[in-house]
Amino acid sequence: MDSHEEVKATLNPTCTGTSVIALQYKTGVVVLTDRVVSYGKMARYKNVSRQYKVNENVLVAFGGDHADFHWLQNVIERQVLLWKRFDQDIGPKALHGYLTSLLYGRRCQMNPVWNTLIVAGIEEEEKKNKETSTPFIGIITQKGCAYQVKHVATGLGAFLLNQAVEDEWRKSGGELTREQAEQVLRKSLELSLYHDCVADNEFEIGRVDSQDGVVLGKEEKVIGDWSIAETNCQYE
Amino acid sequence: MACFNGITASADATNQMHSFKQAMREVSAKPDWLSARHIERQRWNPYSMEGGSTCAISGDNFAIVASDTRMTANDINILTRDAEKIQVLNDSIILTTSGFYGDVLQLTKVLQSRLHKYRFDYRADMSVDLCAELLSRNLYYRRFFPYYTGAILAGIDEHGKGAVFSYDPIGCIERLGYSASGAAEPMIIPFLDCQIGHVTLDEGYEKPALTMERAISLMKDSFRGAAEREISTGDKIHLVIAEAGKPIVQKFLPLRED
Amino acid sequence: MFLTRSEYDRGVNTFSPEGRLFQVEYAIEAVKLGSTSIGIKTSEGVLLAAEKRSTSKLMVNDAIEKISKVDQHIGVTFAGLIADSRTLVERAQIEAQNFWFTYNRKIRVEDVTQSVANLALQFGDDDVKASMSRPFGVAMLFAGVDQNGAQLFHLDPSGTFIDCKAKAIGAASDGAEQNLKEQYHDAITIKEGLKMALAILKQVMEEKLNSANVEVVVIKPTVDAKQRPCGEFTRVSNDELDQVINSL
Repeated sequence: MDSHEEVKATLNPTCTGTSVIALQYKTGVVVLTDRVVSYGKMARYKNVSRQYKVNENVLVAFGGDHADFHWLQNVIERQVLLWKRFDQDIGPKALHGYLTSLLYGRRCQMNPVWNTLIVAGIEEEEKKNKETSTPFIGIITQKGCAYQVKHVATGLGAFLLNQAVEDEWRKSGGELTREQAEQVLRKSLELSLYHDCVADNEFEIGRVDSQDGVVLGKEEKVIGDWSIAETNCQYE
Repeated sequence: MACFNGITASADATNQMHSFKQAMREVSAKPDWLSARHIERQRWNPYSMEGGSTCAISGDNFAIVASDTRMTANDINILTRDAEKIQVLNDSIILTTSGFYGDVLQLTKVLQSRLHKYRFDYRADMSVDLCAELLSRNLYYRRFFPYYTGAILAGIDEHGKGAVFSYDPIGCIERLGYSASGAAEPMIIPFLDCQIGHVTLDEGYEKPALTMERAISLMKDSFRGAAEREISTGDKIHLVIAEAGKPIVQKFLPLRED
Repeated sequence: MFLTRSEYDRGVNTFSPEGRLFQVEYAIEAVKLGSTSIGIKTSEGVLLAAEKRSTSKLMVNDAIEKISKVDQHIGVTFAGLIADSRTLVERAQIEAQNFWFTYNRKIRVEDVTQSVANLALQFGDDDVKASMSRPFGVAMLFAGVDQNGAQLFHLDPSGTFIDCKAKAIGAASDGAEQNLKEQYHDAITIKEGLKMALAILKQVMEEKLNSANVEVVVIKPTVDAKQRPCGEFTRVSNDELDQVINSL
């Protein structure tokens, strides 16, 4: 019984964030996260953002362990500075690739970074050309499994919201306006609020737009419709 | 715990207290969370399965490769409907993989960089025969922390013939006429055994030749069949066709999305 | 050749104003101090013949190895500083084994030559990057049979390698090569090639040619287990050599 390996790696997350929902619209990406830090099931800290502005073109949002992400922020910042040395701004695809290798490398050491990352952004070159400008959403799971999508919900949202978001996206033929996209996100959060006990009603919507660049969202609140609670026999 | 049986109870109680204290000491010396069994159970699993199926068929002068494009988590949750599971490595090599997608990405990258280096070192594109051996070595190199992938390598070999190489996760290699891997492998293989291998046909019967048209339609049937019965397979067929002396053609065909 | 002895022949990485690297040129001169080796590509394979020069009666001739086996299908002979050649031959052997291990196939003769040529250029003052402080003082002839048929490559200390039909290196290379030019033809057989090589050696060697002071290797085409073209490295026995020498 002298194996203490399990205490050297994050094998259980401590302070966590839940779902991230991101959606592509005509000229950019909107990303929604709630603003609570959970310690187990307890809402431990409020008013904490889960979105990180990397530069004018890239936004990273996360679910999972907060401490691991704080470490990641530092790593990303170093990477940004490294690119700055060559007078370059890191783009979303490059950052997505870099973080994929990082997370995969850590899982191979059996010491995972306990995060699901969403890299959202627009490539600088594509920004100028409105015809080809395609907003980017890239996902990386804790184990280094990476893929790109047009819309996504992670965490418990993957079970609850993915289909709802996809339906909305398809209904518009993939050509949502920003307002529509944000509306879908707000509705999604409301849905997750009803079913995910660690989701919070205080949230923010960040976005990356080919015109405005990264705009971090302001704190918003949704109350939702709780009239159904009256008919629940376990409700006091 | 304690059971009282009349007069003998008080004597038993002393013994029981003794053994209880003994047990307490043991528990504090060897807490449950340090037991090997507990650690084993708690051990974080570095693998996950993203489902999906891939398949390859080789003919006289062609090889066709197909996969679905669905990526799932826990077999029930669709992560994306257009995942890339087939990589065209060069004009004559196609790699298709299923299993843990993180390893798939890594393995693809490793092979791509090896092919790139080969071009510089030997001033020619690698042939599928060489790449097949290389992939086998690469897989076996991680014998004790395997790439959890069912890889199939296909393409046109040095003699202009279609080639399919099939692997297990630790690099056992076999050149076959056709192969499948992934979630619907147990469904596709028997179908192809019947249609291409003709294992159910008796000696005297006429066996239809494997033309490219037939191979492609068999491939479509395989995936349509698989998508009906296997939940992690669906959305789209990614079809890649390599024919000797012609550029590689890629197609996407719809598949059921539920 | 070097009328103006200049400052520029000291540093191995310093060009002279005329654009020459003297140390490399000196290394090429060192090759001419070595005993003669000949390689001939024939219609039935490729052969290497080398003079084994013994400086003393007390030396055991059999202990000298002028032709080394790189792999089953490739041989190499060298002239110049033999000690230097050991490093290069080892690189060739490692490269050949490494290729076989990775791809389960015999390496091509050209690729072995290429990798040795790369090593030949890795000299310099830099302690970290350079494996050698001066150019290697050897020329080599790589002979073998691969999927492209019989191959013969000449590699000199500058790292240049050239595909050859026939080539001579070492002390008497000039005279030997003159003879090769006159006698070589494309349809030559192994038997004729062997006779030609030994006749030329007999002519250019200071000692009297016999089976003890000459070494000959023949690489003939064959197929491997998967029916792919390959070569078979064989040393020609003393009896066979005596037969040919007596017939000259």
